[in-house]
Amino acid sequence: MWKKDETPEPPTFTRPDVMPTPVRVAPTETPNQRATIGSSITIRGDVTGDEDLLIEGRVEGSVNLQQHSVTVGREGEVKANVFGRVIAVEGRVEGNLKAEEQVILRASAMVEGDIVAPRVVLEDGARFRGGVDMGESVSARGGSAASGAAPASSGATRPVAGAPAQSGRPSSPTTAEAPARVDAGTPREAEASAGKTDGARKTTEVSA
Amino acid sequence: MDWRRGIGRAPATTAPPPGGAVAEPVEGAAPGVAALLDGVSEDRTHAVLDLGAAADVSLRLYARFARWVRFADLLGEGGWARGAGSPTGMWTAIPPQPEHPYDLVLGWDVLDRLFPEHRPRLVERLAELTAPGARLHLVTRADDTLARPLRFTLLDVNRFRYEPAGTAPLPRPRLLPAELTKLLLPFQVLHAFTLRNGLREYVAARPR
Repeated sequence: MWKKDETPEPPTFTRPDVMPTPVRVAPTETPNQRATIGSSITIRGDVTGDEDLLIEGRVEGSVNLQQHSVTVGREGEVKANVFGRVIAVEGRVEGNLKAEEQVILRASAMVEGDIVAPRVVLEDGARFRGGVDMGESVSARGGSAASGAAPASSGATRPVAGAPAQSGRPSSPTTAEAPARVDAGTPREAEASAGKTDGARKTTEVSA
Repeated sequence: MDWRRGIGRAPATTAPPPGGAVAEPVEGAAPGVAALLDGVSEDRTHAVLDLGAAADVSLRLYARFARWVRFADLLGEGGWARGAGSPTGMWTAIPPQPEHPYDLVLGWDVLDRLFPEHRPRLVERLAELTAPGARLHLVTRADDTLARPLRFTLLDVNRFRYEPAGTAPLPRPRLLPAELTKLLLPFQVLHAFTLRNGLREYVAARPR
């Protein structure tokens, strides 16, 4: 069956002097592939990895999947700071959320913590208490603003060097825009205007 | 953009007649909000503190002006009780914005909800967290027809929506304009708008 002259030479192996470094095998780029922390699982510690993650259980510590999406499912309870490319929350999170692209709080979400992301979406019904820092806008990275993106939808520009946001604590953040409005009236006038009821000088009667 | 377009104008409204009770969400003009945002630059250099509940529509609106937005939800479920009871609680409920002092504060009906002895503490806290020039927006009851807490959502620069938020009666007596003016110091009341639905909006500012 095999001719002798066609028998391939056996491969030669070289024995490395040192053990090879373990290769971290990245998951294939299958869109829906993600790991799951099931509803009966509790993890205390740091969660890292190279694939998307769905949390339906409890995590206390930190979650760091900076290049991947993290979803806290309806049953998920996270007491941790979460880093991800896209973070979607349907369950409960007590901790800060930092996303490279977007944070989405679904209608069932309950989040207490700060959010840092260029785009933040709060669906109707989502309960959120905390701060939002939308500084790293998509446009600042050379991208384009997308619909539904809270900070990027206005076409606003980034503050230039020396502007309040970059200089730290501006002494008068609204000075240049409306000094007349803010400084209008002396304290006595202001007090008088509010001290009176509907007939006050600055009191305007409108329907609502 | 014409920031003053809503002031003093009677817009289309779904508000109940004067004296009517609020049983479902109501949309109406918010000339006080329009005055608050009048002339504020849309450069996203500002920091907004909203003492009400978080909402996507509000966040999008704030994002025109602000990089930093904090929803303290001081009025929400358990929130105001936790924040009002002690100086520490107030600190926890309204943390500082490290990068930038708040320069736009929307307090909604928080003062109406707080017991009188807790109100000065809130104002003191707001004074700590804001810079000179900061603006403050508040809503109070103009009469006793609205004796229940409300949840406000900012819909546009001159419109808001409000709906019942709980059944707990508001502390009595209601705040009178002269009391409020005195209470708000060092903020000075610049504008007061009496709405036909039993609400009154105030816009105040910290002098420079």
